[in-house]
Amino acid sequence: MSLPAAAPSRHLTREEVRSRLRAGGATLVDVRARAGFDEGHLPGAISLPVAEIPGRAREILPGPSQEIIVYCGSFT
Amino acid sequence: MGYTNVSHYSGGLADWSEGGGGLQRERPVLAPPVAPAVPLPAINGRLRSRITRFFDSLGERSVGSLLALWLYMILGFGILYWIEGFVTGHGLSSGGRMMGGNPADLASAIYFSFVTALSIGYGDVTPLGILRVFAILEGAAGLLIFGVVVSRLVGRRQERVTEEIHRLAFENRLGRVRTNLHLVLADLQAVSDLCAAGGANPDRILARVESAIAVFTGELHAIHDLLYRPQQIPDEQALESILAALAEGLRGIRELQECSPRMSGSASLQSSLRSIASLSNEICGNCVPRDYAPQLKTWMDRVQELARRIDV
Repeated sequence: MSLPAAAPSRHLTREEVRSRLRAGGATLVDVRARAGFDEGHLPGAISLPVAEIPGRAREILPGPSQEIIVYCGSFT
Repeated sequence: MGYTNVSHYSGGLADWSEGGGGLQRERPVLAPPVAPAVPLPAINGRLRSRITRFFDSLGERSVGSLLALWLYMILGFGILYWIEGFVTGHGLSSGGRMMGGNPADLASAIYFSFVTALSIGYGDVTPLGILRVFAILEGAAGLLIFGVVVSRLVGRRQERVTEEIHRLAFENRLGRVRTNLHLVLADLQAVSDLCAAGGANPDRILARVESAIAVFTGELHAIHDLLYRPQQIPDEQALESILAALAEGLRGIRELQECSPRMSGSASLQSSLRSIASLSNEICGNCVPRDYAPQLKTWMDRVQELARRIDV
């Protein structure tokens, strides 16, 4: 899976994700299809399926300098 | 697009769940509607269950046993009528004459019993007092038993055909399980060779292993079913060959685990392995409900033991 919008700069582990969420200020983005998101997503994540990234990214995501963490189903 | 502060959680949902993280759902899970409890009539529970068990058993009995039951009932009622007659002096009446305690009257009482149970009711001997209640009960019971006898006689041919169908389906299933197990074994062996040789693409291997083990789990499920719910008794040789293939498969899975540590990363694989572990745990010589031949029991124990060596 490759993200068309931006090349991610870092790969995080589970613990790093947890600590960043706890610290606050990070937005979790679930890039799977909507159905998968409905069945179960990480707490606090928002849904932005890959196909919709060009269209909806601006309206859903916080400002360009805010921290964003993307995830999908499993190891890519 | 200008987003500069983007990180990627590579583990994704799978890694999060494995770490014990909870998930949120968008759709609330609907609780199944609870049916209000229906109050049952206040007949003593144990009595009710014994009555229903008796009626159920009627349906299971053979024609011969039903006829025997019917005869005992008639004789029993006949004796009852006779005894009641000379104890109370107010029993059966035959053409205006009260029935006494002599043997001729016993014969008449039994005759009356037959006539009542067969729903004939000539009326040459009639019941009085409480015997009227018994006579009616006897009439109803006679009808019931005869109904069952007739339906059993009619259903015999149907039963034979159904049994044949079940036997065919069972043998079909057995054969299919055998074939699939051997195919899975061959595939696992091939993967094991690839793994040992090294240099193969780990993702492709993983996909292949996942699918082979999923099929293996399915067949293990079928075998577990065969052992725990045997509508038919499996042919001993066929069962032995299946158990041997099962043992071989479990050994192969264990070897694969040692060869490819990547296997622990796959959630679907781990779930299959857990199913395999729990199903195999119930396959041992003394666990299964039927008492099989000693060599089959030995195989079952071996299956259980091999499964325990697999890491889940």
